[in-house]
This record gives sequence, C-alpha cells and structure tokens, in this order.
Amino acid sequence: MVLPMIRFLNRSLVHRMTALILLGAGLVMLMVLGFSYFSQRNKILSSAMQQSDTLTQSAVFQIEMPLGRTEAVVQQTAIFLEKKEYACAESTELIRRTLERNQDIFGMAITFSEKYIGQSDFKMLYGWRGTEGIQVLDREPENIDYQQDWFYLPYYLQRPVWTEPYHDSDANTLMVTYSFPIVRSGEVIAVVTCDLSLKWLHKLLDTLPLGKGGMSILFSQRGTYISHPIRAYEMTETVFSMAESQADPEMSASLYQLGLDALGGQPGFQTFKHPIDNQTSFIHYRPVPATGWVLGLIQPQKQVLASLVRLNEISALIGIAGLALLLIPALGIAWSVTRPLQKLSVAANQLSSGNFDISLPVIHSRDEVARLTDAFEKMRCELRRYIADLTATTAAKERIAGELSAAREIQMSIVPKLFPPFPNSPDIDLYAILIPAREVGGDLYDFMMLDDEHLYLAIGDVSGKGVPASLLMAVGKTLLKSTMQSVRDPARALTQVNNELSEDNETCMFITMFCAILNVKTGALIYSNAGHNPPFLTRVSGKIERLDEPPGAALGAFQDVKYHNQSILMHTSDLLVLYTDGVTEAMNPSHEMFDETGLLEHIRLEGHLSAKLFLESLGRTVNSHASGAEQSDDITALAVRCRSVTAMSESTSQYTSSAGRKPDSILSIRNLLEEMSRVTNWIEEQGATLDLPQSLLMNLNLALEEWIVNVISYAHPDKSEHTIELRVWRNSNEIRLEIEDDGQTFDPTAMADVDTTLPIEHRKIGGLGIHFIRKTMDRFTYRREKGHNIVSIAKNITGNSDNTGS
Amino acid sequence: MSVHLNILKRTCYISLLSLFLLILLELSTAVGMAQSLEPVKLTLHWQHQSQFAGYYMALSKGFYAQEGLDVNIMRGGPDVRVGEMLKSGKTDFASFMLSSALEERAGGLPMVQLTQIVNRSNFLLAVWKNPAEGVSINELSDLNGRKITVWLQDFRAPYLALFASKNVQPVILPQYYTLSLFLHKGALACSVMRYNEYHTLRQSGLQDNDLKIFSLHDLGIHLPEDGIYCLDETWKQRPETCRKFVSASLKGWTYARDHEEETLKEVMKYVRKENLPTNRMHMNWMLHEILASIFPAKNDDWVFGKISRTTYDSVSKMLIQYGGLKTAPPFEDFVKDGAAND
Repeated sequence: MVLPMIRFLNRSLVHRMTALILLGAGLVMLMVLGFSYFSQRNKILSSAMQQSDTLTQSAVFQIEMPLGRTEAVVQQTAIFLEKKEYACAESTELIRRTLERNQDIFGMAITFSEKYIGQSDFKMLYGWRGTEGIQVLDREPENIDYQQDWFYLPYYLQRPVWTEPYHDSDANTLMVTYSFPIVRSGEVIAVVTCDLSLKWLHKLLDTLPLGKGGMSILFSQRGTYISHPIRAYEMTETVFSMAESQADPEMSASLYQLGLDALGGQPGFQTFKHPIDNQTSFIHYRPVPATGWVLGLIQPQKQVLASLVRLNEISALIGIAGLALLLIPALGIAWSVTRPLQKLSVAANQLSSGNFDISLPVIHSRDEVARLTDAFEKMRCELRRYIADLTATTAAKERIAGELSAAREIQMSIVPKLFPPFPNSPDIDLYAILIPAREVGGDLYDFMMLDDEHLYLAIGDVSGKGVPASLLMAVGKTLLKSTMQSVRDPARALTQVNNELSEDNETCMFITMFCAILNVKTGALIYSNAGHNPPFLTRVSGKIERLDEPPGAALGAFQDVKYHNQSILMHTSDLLVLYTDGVTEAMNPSHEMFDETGLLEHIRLEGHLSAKLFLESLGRTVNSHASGAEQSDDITALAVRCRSVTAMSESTSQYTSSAGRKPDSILSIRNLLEEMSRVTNWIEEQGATLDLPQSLLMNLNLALEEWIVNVISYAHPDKSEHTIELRVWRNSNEIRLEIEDDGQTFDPTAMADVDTTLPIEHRKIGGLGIHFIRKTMDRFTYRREKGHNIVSIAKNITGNSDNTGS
Repeated sequence: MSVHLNILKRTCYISLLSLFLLILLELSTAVGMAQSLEPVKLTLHWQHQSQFAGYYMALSKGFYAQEGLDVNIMRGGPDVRVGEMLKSGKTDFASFMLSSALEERAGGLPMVQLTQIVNRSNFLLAVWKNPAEGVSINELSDLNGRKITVWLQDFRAPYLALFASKNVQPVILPQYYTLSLFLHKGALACSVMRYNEYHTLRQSGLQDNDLKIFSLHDLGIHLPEDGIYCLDETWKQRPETCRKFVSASLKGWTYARDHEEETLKEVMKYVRKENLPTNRMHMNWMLHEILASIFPAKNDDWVFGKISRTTYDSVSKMLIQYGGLKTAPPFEDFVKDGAAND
C-alpha cells in the first residue's frame, strides 16, 4: 500500500505538490478538530454531569413526594390512634377518606398486635381499592399477617419502616408498605400501614429525559432492582447478583463496589462499564432518603458525547469537502508550476538530442520556473557556442595531430633505419634508435660510408618541436650529409651548414649537432661538435672518455661561426655512444632526470654488448626510469664500434690520429720564411723516397708552400718562434701531408672559395693559395687538436694524377 | 372460476382430514402412555428452587417415566401444608426436613422416610461483625443477652442445641420469611441456610468483612435435612412404586450433579413459571451448595440417600430436647426401603 503510494508520488511533481498541500491542510484540520474535540469534550461532559445530577435530584424528589405523603398520612392516623381509641366505624371512615384523598395509596390497614386484640371493637381493619371501589374490611388477623415485614419489622424495631417493595398479586402491581407502630408504654399495640402502589414509578422513570441509550435504575436498600429497563430483573436481580454474574472477576468486583458505593447513602457519580452492553457509561446515583432506595441514571459515554462526535463528524465532512475543493486550486497551482517545467523538459530532451535551435517555452512570470527557463536559455546559447568552439578546437587539434604525425613521419623517414647498415662490413657494429616524443622533438642521426674506410656519423637535435623542428631537422640533416660528402671534414661541413642555416633564419631555430668521420680501418675519429651533448667513448678497458672539447655554437644560431675538428683514436671494440638530451633529460614522475650519471651507469653495465643490444637496453632503461611519465623529448642515440682496427703505438698516436699509422716522414721547421727551403728539400727528398711522380711532387710543393707561408705569416701574432711540423704518408693510392702548427685557430677549409670571376685586385688575400690547394688536391681537411691547427692535404696517386695541376 | 373453487374445496377437505387423523394418532399415543405409567404426586416442602433440582431432572430426563411413573411435582410454600396433603392423599410423596417429618410423625401423621437426600446440615448463624459503633461480635459468647432472630420450632432446635452446647443465652426473636429485622440491625444475628439466605445476604451487598458465620454442622450440630416421605400405608401397599420413585429421584440428583449447567436451566424454568423473586446466580449458588450437602465428599461420613441410625438417634434426641418434639419413633419404624445406613 505504502510503496505504490510513494511510487505514485514520485512519479509527478503535480502529485507530490498536491499531496503536500492536502496533507498540510489536512493536518491543520485534524489539529483544529482535535483541539475542538478535547476542549468541547470536557465542557460537554461537565454540563452533562450537571444535567444528569439535576435530573437525578428532581427524579428523587418526585419519587420522594408520594412516599412523603404516604408517611404523613400514616403518621397522622397513628397520632390519632395513639391518643384515643377509635371505634371500628370511625376507623373505617378514616381509612375510606384517606384512600379517597390519596389516589397513590392502594390500601391501608390498622392491625392490633396479638396481645392487644380486644382493646378496640375491631381487630384488623383493611381498606383497599377493589374492583367495586374502596372497600374496608374488618377481619381477624392471621398468623401470617404478624409474620410479614409490614407488621414484624415495626413491631420489633418499634419505629416506622418502609418494607422492601413486593409484588401484590391482588393489585397486580409493585407495592411498598409504610408501617407505623403505635407504641404505648414501650409496647407496640398496633401497626398502621399504607400500601403505596408503585405503578407510577415506571411511568416517572420511563419519561425521564435521558436521551438515547440512557436509562434509569431504581433499587432498594438491599440492592434489589425496583425498576430496571429489563423488567425481568425487577424484584429478582440485585445490583450484587448482576456483579456476581459477570464472568470477568475484575468487572464483577468493580460492579459490586459500585453497588456498595451507591448504597452508601450519598449521591455520587462514577464511570463504569455497563454489564448489559459493555459500553463505558456514566452513572449518577442518589439515595431516596425515605426508603433508602437508590436512583441511578446511566448514560453511555458515547451517547453523552454523541453530539460532540456528530459535530466533529460534520466538521470532518466539511473538512474533507474543503480538502476536495482545495484539490482543484492545488492541482491548478501544481499544474501551473509544472506545465512550463514539462515544456522545458520536452525542450531539454530536444536539446540533449542536439537540436539547439529549439525555442524554449515563453514564461511571463518572474518566478523560479522563469529563472530556470532563463538559465536553460543561457545554457542553450552557451552549449551552442561551446559546441561550435569545440568543433573548431577539435578540427584544430586534428590538424595539429595530423601535423605531428606528418612531422613524425618526416623525422622517421629521414633517418636511416636499416640495420645492420653495412652488411658487407661486418667489422662495423652500428646501431641507432630514435624514439620520437608525442610532440616530435626534431632529433636526428645519420651515418654513411663515405668510402671504404670512412664512416660519416652525425647526431643532432633541433630546437623546438613539431613540424618546424622536423623540417629543420630534415634540412639540417640533408645539408650536412651532402656537405660531408663533398668536404669530408666535420668542422668544415658544420661551418658550411651553419652558414647556410643561419642565413635568413627568421624562425630563430637552431640545431645542435655532433658530426664525425671514423676511419673504420684505423679507428681514427675526427669530429666536430656544434653545441651538442658530448658523446662518450667507452674503452675496452672500461674507461669512459667524454668527448667534451669545448663545442661550438649550435647550427643556425649565429653566422660565421668557426667549428674545429678534434680527433681521437678508437681501438678495437671501443664503443662510441652518441645521444641527444632526450636521453639524459628523460624524467620520471617526480621530475628526476635520467642524467649523464644514468647514462654512464648504463654504459658501464651494458657497454660490452653489441650496439644494437646496448641501445635497445638503453631504451628500456630510460623507459623504466621514466616509469610512465610522459616522454617530453625524442630519445635518440647512436652507438658504433669497430671490431677490427689496425693497432698503432700509443706514442705516435698524436700524429697518427688522422691517418691511422705513423707517418713515413716528419719535418719540423721554425716559423720563419727562411725555413721554406727546407720544406722544398724535404718534399723532393720524399718524392724520391716515395717514388712520387714529378707533377704530383710539384703540386704538393706548391700547395705546401702556399699553406706554410700562410702559417708563418699569420698564425703567430706574437712574432715569437714556433714550430711547424710536417708529416707525410704514402699509401698505395694516396699521398697525404699533414701540417701542424700551434698558431691561432684558422680553418682554411672553411674559407669561401675564391671568386675567380672577380678581377684580381678584388680577391681576398691568401684565397688563391687555398683555391689552388682545393683545385689540385683531392682532399683538403682541417682539424684543431690540442690547441694545434692540423691541415691535411691528400692526393690520389692512381691513374688520374696527370690531371692534377691543370 | 368454479373449477378453482372446487380445487380449493378439495384441498381444504384433504387438509382437514389429515389434521383429524393426526390428532387421533396423537391422542391414542397419549392415552397409551398414560395407561402404561402410574400417576404419582410429589409435593415439595418449599417453593420451586434448586433445592429440589434432582426431582426436576428425574422428570425432565425421563427417569420417572423409565420407572413407569408419571410424576406430578407440586410446589410447597408458606401457604402449603405438606403434612395435610400427605394425610389427605393429595400427594403420594412429599419432601420434608427430617426434623419437620419427625414433628409430623409425632403429631400423629403415620409417615415414613424413603430416602435421606440432604445429609449435611446447611444451618448457619450469620452475625453482624460490627453491628454498631464500638460493638464487635467474634465469638458465639458475644451474643449473650443480645437480640437474635431464629426460625421457629424444629428449625430452631439445632440453634438451641448449639447455644446449649456452647452455653450461650441470646435473646431469641422469631424469624419468619425474611431477614429484614437482621438487615435493619434489629437483631445481631439470624439463622440462615448456607444454600439460600446466606447467599441472599451476599446479594444484598454484605461481604465477608460484614459478617461472621457460624456453621452448625462444623460446630457439631448434625441435622440431616431433606428427605422423601410417604404414608406408611403407601409404603406398605405400593412398595414397588416407592422404590421406583426413590430410585428415579436419586438418579435425577446424580444427573443434576453431573450436569449442573443443564440443571440450572431446568430450575430456572420452574422459577420463571412461578414468577419467583429470585435470580439465576442465586439458584446457581443454591444448586452448588445443595449438591455439596447431598453427595459426600472424601472426608464426609455419610452415604448418598441414606441416614445412619446414630445420626437419627442423636437428631431425635436433640429435637426432643430443644425442638419441642414429644416422641420419636424407632429407627426401623421410621426409615424404610434401604434409606437406613446402619
């Protein structure tokens, strides 16, 4: 019952509001009803009490009246008899007249006691209302007369007595007798009696205005019912026999007590459970003083309160009718509130299905619903705008994502990814990884065999991210590669690339770049660093060297930056590790970087592995260090090792670093032009020793002269004495010279080529000499090593040597 | 129209004929029954009440009819002189108090006892505990010199025997049909029957703390009460009828004992018919008490329906001494038909 009700109420605001309004009104009504009931109840009860008490009094008074008259009659008669002897005739007349005058009195008797019979001329006079009128009879009293209470009691009590009521079969009515003893000198000589018919009693009691359900009872001083609504109880039952007949002992005891209280001689009032109908009833009782009878007026509480109950019922009916009427405005209010809400909910449903053009219901009031509608309207506009924004943003994001993936594709497509890269050269163990970040960082690496011996290596990092970075990376990578192919000199290549990039660099982006050439035969590594993280070289011994000669500026940042070559010798199985800051700056969630220490530790632990395994495990280590933190930059590393390198002694290493083996001849001169003759002599000497063609020798000589004069003239601004060392190598197909000085840094290879189209006076000094060297020699490289300029020139001595010098 | 009338007439004839036949049948049965049953009259020594419940039950349950008797139970009362009815042959059997029967016998009525129904005495003396301010009655001796009411003649005898045995000398006023003098406190004590007046007092609103009750039986005054009597002549001429009557009467009492509720209903029928001023609760009490004084309990020394010689002897002695009884017949002359319990 309750659950469906709750469900019903929950289903609609209309139901709930209406129910609440009705409930509220109903509660108020109940309170009013309750208050009026209880306040009126007491009033009604006390007034009923008053009324009932008054009624009892008046009824007792009415019962008392005939009794009183009877008593008076008897007493008067007795007084006469006491004083003088009445003769039969007089007494008969007295009785006749009394009966005539007092219609209530049925019969009257004067009876002499046994002892005094003979004192008068009659023994017993009895007058009564017979069928033929009043009759008076003089008769002999029988034994039984003296044994009856009407004689017996006054005789022995010697005082007037009302007998218990009795049923008189002659008159066929209830009768009660008042007996008055005539006492002379302490002895009862006669008894005067009057029989009072109680026919009027029922009439009197039955016409008492007791109201519905009310009843009167009259019982004798023995408790015997004289009058009772149930006539069969009269003269048979007593108030105590009624109590006795109750099955419930408690009820029995309380009724018994009620009887005792009522017979106590005092008027009273009690609430009790009526044995006949089991209703809670009120009884007012009051003794009839003459006879000791008790009159009780009983009214069921229900009856007393009936008017009140009726009033309350009417009130309740009116209330219910009122509630029913209230239902109409309540529903009206609820509907007026919820109708716009319903419209709003329809509109909201359409809104939710994406129809933002729906028009919201128009609310004319300024109440909460109107405010809600306003809010909805605002929400609708906001949503529309928001969705438009979102659409745009999403498109932009998609575009960005597209760009990013494009960038990634560019990045990944541009770096060599085929491993092992040189299947024909098993001695070269090379591997590289590039793990792009979500936003492409613009890392790059590159490698390529320039010839059988020389391996070009590069690793770089473009500043910035995304497509611009990847584009710059592509440009940088391509530029560097092509430059390296032509100049075969890291420092010069970087210088050229830098110039290319820094020119019109409006984006202000730059690239850090490490670039190197490794002679895979000799292990000589020539490298130049443009602002990139210094790589690590792991010796087989476990020693880790950091190639951290001061790096130059990043590519593209400044124009005309000079980069210098450094060189170092790698031995068999030494591992060169190139990396970008994506490795060392990889962060974990608590912002701790992997750092160089992490990298060094990894190298120490895993440096013995093959390049591939080493880098793969490095990738895992970095990843585990990040432990879920988002990768912010590309992680790029390149590792290379030569498995077989021609060994060279450590003592000559400083000279062999560029060529791999010790020179065939060395010449040291001072920085004096006079020393040039020694150079010429030494060359010719070498030409003879090494069996060089004359044309080549001449070109070499000229080239040397050009360069050494240049060095002597400009390298040492302090004008003090310095040594210039010349070294020569004769390989099977090449003659190579190195010129080393400790002068100020000067990279001739970085010099722009002489514009030979210009008139001679506009050309740069020294430019021609360098131009000459470039023209005649097959290779012309520069490196700076331990504060020394080392220029290397080489000439192939295979068939085409005749072409040189043209 | 005439057809309809004919049908109506015919229906009437048939109906009348059937009715006549039916009445004839009923009459013949009744006559037949009457012929087979011996008509017998029983007169009770007081008005109809539970005191005589056994006879009502013997009649209503057909115990008399089973014995071949058609019993007519007639009420007694102050206006009925049972002895005279017996003497004149207006009744065959009569119930008497033993003391009244002995008095009748001594008065010259040749009657004998057929059965002793009530063996335990129900005589009590009810005394106001506190009749007036400062007066309190707790012992019999407190009644010395005080007014009390006691029944007359043979009913007075046990009280006199009691007072004599306890050496108490109250002023004894006559007590007739009501307790009114006692109730008006014109007497401090009155004689009551346990099964009757005692309960009437209670139904008048008197409680245990109002009354002090002395039981004569408990105080050693044994006086068997109701019994069934008939003329010696009846006993001699129709002993079988007497025996049958007694047997059916005792059966009625036994039935009453076993069916108190049903018996009470039957009693109330008699009471209502006579329009007697009593009520059901009173009859209920009376039935209960009378049965208790008829059927011996474990500790009682009498036998149902019989009287012992010693009791008879002591009763006759007491009645002679205190009840003004002139003479008592020998036990064998007075007690017949197995009522004797030697």
